[in-house]
Amino acid sequence: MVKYFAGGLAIIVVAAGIGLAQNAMRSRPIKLIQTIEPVSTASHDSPAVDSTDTAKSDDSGEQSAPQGSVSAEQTLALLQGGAVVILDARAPSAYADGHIPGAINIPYDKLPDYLDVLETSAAPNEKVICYCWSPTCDFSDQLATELKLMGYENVLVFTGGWDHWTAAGYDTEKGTGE
Amino acid sequence: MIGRILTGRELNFALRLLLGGMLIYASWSKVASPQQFAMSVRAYEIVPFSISNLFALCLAWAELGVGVLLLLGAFTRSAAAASMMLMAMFFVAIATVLVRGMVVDCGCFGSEGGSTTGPLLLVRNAFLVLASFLVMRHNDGMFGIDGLLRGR
Repeated sequence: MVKYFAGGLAIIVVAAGIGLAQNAMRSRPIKLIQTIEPVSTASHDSPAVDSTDTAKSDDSGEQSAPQGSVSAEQTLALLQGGAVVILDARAPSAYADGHIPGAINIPYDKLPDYLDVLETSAAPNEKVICYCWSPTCDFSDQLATELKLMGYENVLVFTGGWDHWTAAGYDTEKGTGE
Repeated sequence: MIGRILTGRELNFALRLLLGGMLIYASWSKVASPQQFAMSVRAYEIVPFSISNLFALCLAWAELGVGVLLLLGAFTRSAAAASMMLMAMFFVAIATVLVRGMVVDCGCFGSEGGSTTGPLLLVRNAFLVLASFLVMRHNDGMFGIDGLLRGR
């Protein structure tokens, strides 16, 4: 039986080698090793805190915010400025229940299904803000990382997400956005 | 009785076709769009970010290669062993996602699928591991290149 597993491994290695060769011959090969750092603004270290307090500290203490992260207040200011696309990385059901006005729903865990929506919503040279539930939610970071890999140059994360937005008392809207 | 059914050549022929056809179908859109498949791989948060594209590309082609060999019945037992290793790896990946309380798009059939990770997916993969094992253990080359070369 060992020889079959050894043969199986050999088949996998040869097939992978063919794949690598085919990729090298493509007009636009995919980059095999990622050199950019994944976006990481979410925090899993601190215990659950009152979201109102967190929103306040974020708004007042920009120095403590991770790089590439914006607060609820900054997000609102950017949206009012108009030159930004905001992406909601949560599930469609959560988006339908309530989202930041003007947000486009791009659920991170189903990103390949939403590439068409993404491409029609935001050009790679536009400023984009991603958000999800709260400071402990990773989806906005992961969506921001994928956007950077796709060539989006100006990607920010509203790390406080939906919790901080509603705690700040800003406007929301409901519906699927269709 | 059950043992005789499980080791029967007709059942093993059917399982070989099922595994081969499914692997080719599953790999098709992954091979065509490895970048999209890499997104699914990253969603599992198992493979290091820096090599996720490399892993996705190799995995997609491994599935295609194993699927083609199973369908043709060439190097069948080794291909079935490879299929068993792939299915076992998928089983572990889905299980770790479930244990961590995550729900991600399974990415099983590239951009053609839509199912999310869940216990049913684990059961399906357990069946596929078993099917691969049976083919590896009992395939006799029926209607395959291996059988032709051996005069069966």
